[in-house]
Amino acid sequence: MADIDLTLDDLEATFAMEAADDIAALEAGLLALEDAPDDAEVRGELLRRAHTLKGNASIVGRQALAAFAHTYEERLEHLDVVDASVIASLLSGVDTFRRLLEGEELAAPAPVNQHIRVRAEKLNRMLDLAGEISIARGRVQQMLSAGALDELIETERQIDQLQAELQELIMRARMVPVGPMFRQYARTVRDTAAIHGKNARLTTIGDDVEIDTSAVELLRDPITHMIRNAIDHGIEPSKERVASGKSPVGHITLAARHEAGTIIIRVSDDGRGLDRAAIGADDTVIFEPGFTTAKEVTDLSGRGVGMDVVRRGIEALRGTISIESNEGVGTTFTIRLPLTLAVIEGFGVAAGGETWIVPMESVVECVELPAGEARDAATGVLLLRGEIVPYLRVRFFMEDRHSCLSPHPTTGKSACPPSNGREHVLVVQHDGARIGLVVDELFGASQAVIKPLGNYFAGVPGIAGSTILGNGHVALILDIATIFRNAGVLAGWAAGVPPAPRRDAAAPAAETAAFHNKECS
Amino acid sequence: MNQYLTFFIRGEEYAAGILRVKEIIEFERVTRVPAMPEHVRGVINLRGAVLPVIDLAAKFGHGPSEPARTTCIVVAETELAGQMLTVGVMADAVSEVVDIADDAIEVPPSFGTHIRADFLTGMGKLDNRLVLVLDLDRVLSPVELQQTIDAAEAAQV
Repeated sequence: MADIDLTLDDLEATFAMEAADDIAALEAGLLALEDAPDDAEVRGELLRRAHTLKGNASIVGRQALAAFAHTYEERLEHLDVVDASVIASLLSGVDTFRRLLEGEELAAPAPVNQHIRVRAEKLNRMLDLAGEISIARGRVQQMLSAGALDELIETERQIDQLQAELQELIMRARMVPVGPMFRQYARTVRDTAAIHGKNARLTTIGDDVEIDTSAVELLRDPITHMIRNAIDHGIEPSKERVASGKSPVGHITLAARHEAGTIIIRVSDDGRGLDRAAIGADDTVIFEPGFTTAKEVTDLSGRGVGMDVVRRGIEALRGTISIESNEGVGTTFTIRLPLTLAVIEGFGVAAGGETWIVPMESVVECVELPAGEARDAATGVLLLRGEIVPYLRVRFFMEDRHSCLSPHPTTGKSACPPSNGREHVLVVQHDGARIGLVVDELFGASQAVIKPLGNYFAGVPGIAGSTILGNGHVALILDIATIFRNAGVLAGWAAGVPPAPRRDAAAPAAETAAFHNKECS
Repeated sequence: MNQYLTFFIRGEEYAAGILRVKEIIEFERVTRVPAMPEHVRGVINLRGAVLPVIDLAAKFGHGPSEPARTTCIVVAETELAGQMLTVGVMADAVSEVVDIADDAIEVPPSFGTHIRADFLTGMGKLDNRLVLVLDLDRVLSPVELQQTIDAAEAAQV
């Protein structure tokens, strides 16, 4: 019984995925046909896809879809003149296919990529298990090193290797090539340009570069937004382009590549560049909330969802975004993302009776908090080798800082500063700026498997997610980008009063510098 | 006739539909999360999954629970916007699994139950006692949580 159900489910799921592939191929084929109307190969591919769609739809009993595919195939067979209006009408047929597919199969959303056939849920579970193995292993290790049993220690080492391999394998299984996602934008570019009375084409580079499957979903809206901006504000009308010696067709390029453990995605156009008169010399203002150059709101952009939202989306993936624009030549956005979103190198610290993880890429150095600094303030300012570094006390992130007076009911620990009075400053950076995080203890660097905190904790400022520690407990991962932006809020929220930064004359630069050679890891 | 798990919170006996209860675990160390209301105790690791832990005593206005030897966490599923969410609920002690017929569950009276009537499906009549049948979706909903936060903020202004 269960087997039969499974098979039917499988058939359904397979159909939905293959149909989505066929529809995507039809769309890509039509866009290719517009540029090469007589290409027999493209025409052949279109016919094949429509035919396959028809056949598969009737096998699984999708009569409406099969009937539409039949009409569509006939139309393709008798395709004579190919002009923009014919392509537009055939493309709207592609949209109808999508609606029919979604309408009839709610349980199977159109997959982005044809290479992944494993549900992300299952993969995540595998990852959970791998993490658990490593925790259990840690316990065994402790027991063994106490007993000094050489053979067992060796076996344990082998398990260690196997487990690392498993984890690596699962990480890699989460990676998918960017090509299919990139190619979906060919349509966005064409349609958006058409609405604007402009002419633009998409070029993709590095289609084989693989990125984390969850990043594909999370990048979709930011890239769509950047492409729409590029066409609305960047690409000039054909006449203007010809007048300035450019080709009449504007080019949008989506490029991906790997570089030193990061993925780099570039969204560039060969348009007029940023409007210097409206923006001024500093390009980064376009990432400020509420920024717009649109004098009037168009259908495409200028409706308040701006580049600040794009930046937030990228930062949520622990990435960065930068812009380079040359007047008359074009604009390029460069997105840098970590290779995998599932694991980070983190630096563990203790504060307020909890363990916190700081992403390693943000960590600059560790120093001991100079003796002259106040111990009971949410914030303060440090002089570090001549540089003023404001700091936040992580212990104060917990709203119940008064529990210092009595031990925490759950942990039995108090949120008081360490009894020896020594506190450490973890200096972190973001966008070239530095702040200090004052903590009670430093644990050092380790790999952390990221676990989302879920709906319950959506919007907690300063927290990027969680991870499971070697002892099986949960630690929160600090979100350095939002801590920087909300430092004032976080400080005020903990202290209950506006923070009063002070420059402490009792902490001269020389004294502070004496501590900084203490290594972070 | 449905089965319910009953458990105690501050001396009151509550019941939750057994189909929603996944397991019961010993109370363990909970990692606190900043800026959460008192009744969101924090998060725990359940075999590799991170779950929120809710302190219903705090939610019902009795103040935070003090964990004791019998304290445990009832791991239950709740529906949120069509998705199932797994949540841990603190209980001072777990009691038993009971059968309660649908017609033995009555609309809660407008006062006297010590908790908001809309958190309850009803009051279940057992042979010699009453149990408060929880509406888990309602009680554990983060939307409800958000309202609680909003209300608390409004009260401070």
